[in-house]
Amino acid sequence: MSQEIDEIIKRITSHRGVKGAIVMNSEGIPIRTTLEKDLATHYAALISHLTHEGCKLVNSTSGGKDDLKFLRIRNNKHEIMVAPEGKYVLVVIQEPSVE
Amino acid sequence: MEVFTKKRRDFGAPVNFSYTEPYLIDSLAPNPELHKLWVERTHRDQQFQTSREMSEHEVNTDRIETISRGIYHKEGGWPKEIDPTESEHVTRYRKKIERDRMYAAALRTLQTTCETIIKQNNAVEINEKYFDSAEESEVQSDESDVPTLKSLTVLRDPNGSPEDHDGRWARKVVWRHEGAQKSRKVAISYCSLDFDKRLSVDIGGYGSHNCSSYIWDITNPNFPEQELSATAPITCLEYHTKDTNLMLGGWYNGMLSLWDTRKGHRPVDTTDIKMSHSDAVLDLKWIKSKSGMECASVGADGRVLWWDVRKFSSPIDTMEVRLPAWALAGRNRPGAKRSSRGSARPGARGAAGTTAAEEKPVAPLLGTMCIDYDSAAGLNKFTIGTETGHICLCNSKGRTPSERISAVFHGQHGAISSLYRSPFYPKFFLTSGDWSVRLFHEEVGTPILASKYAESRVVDCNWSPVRPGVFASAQANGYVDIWDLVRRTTHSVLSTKVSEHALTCCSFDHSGNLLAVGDEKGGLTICEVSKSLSNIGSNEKHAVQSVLDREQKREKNLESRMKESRLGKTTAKVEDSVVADLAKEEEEVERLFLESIVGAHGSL
Repeated sequence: MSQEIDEIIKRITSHRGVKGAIVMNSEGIPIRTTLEKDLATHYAALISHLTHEGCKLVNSTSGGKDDLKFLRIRNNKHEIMVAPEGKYVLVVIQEPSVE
Repeated sequence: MEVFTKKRRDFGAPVNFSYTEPYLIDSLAPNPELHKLWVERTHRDQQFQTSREMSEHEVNTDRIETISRGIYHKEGGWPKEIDPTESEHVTRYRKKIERDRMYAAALRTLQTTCETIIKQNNAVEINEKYFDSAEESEVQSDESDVPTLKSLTVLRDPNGSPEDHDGRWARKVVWRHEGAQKSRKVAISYCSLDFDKRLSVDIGGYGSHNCSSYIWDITNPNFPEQELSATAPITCLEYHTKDTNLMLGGWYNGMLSLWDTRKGHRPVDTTDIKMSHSDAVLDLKWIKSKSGMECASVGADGRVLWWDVRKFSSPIDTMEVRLPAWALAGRNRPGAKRSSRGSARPGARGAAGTTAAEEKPVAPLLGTMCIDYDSAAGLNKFTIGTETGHICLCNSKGRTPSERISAVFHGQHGAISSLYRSPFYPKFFLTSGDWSVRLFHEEVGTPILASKYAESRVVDCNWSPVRPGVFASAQANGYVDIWDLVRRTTHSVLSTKVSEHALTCCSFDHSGNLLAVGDEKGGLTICEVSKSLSNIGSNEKHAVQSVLDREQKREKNLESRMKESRLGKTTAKVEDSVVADLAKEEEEVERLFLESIVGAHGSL
């Protein structure tokens, strides 16, 4: 099973411009990452907050019938993609302008 | 007239009406005279308005104070039984999660969604910037010629009540030198110079009065960055020219002190009050010396004191500012020995044979308002502005007091509020006082350029450190004028109201981009000047130099012309004879002309 996960992460990071990926749980603990440990912890801690807030927003406006599926954060250099699914969150950091 | 009387005892008695015959009380006969005075009014004025009534409202958002605080970050989210610092625990916990079947399933679904978006991002640059060139041209049009002033932030005296913004005067503002960058730190000395407050201070001591001044970071207008505490109000401050940690301050009671911003808010050293000025210190400057630790201060007591900040117990040197005899006689310089008969005072006329210096007049001490020192103009040269409006060019190397003052100009009608040498042309200096700003040259006794009288007092002026021809002046009606000698020498290029209150000081930062303007209620407005006022043009230095030289020459010529006309009647006599000759010649020509005409007529 862990081989399959390795495969998935490898595939994601092999795309052009992808700087790294983090798999974390909903508590903000990075489980698997291709980034440095400190940076991954930093991202995970901050993104867990944001996803939590996002989930709250979607849940409360839909009366609990809907869930947050995806969050794209575009900044000058990167795009941070946050995809929550159940207890886990996949975070991908991409630099789209790289040729 | 009918008088109705009723006795007191009848009060309250039941009324008893009875029938009487009608009788005539009075009769007014019609008056025909009055009828003749009757005039019918033909028309009358009434005002009404057809336009819609308007009113003006101003709304401003409340001032919100924010604080930034630090938080200790630590890694969290781990279950209670796991210690995140133990790497073994952590890896074991991670392994456990990875074995979860949900985990793999979730990741598999996430992979597809993420990949779609990654590919999308790589295929199309959805946030691409179009029309880059158009934006650039817009930026260029922003840099057009219109000079503007944009206020960025207001720093208020923290000791004033926030409701009515009633702080102390922001008497002087100095920017911290940070190389070529925009300065971010600014020090303000807060000191009320109102006469009323001065009285209460003198009676009650400074106990009830907060004497601290502050250093601000202009990016944080809520709280000052550092306090500079003192036991008397601080009237002026000056950063050390090299080491920006050192701050020199002058106090209201005449003392000076030195702060080291690394060593807290208390002054490192203060001068001995017995050796200090006997009235408020009004200005001070660091002096270029071997140790770099010398400074000069001037005060309202009319003395200039030189100090070594490492030895504050007594001043190195003292000078009393009195007008020398030749200045009292109405001359600018000591050199010319010729006793000027016309302009000398009646007292000086008696001593026709003696030179002026031997008279020993008891000239009064002159309170000094400002001092300027620029090592580029001369290492020992000082320029002093007095309360009487005189500008004294001084040389600290002279032995006798009269030798020290090398020239006296009549600068302004009132006290000279500020005096600055141009950073580019050290021979030229700018003064502000009464209602005008004036530009002087060291060798010419009259201003080479003078502004028109403004509506309000001019309280301060300051040169731009980057543009040679640009300077700002602050007025007591809240307006700041910016002058640009390249564009115009007669009017300011920009006049903007910065504050509701009277201004007290203005100062450019070292990059020339920011202008700090202080007002009487303790507010300091930081303004950004437009690029046209802060970017030096090509060949501008030369252009301004030529403008200044031209004006200086003109003033010099006028001066020499005045001298000539005053010189004597001999030249006037010569001129008279020349005029008579000319008149004769003219008559002769006219006669010849008439003859020729008459002759021509005759032949016809």
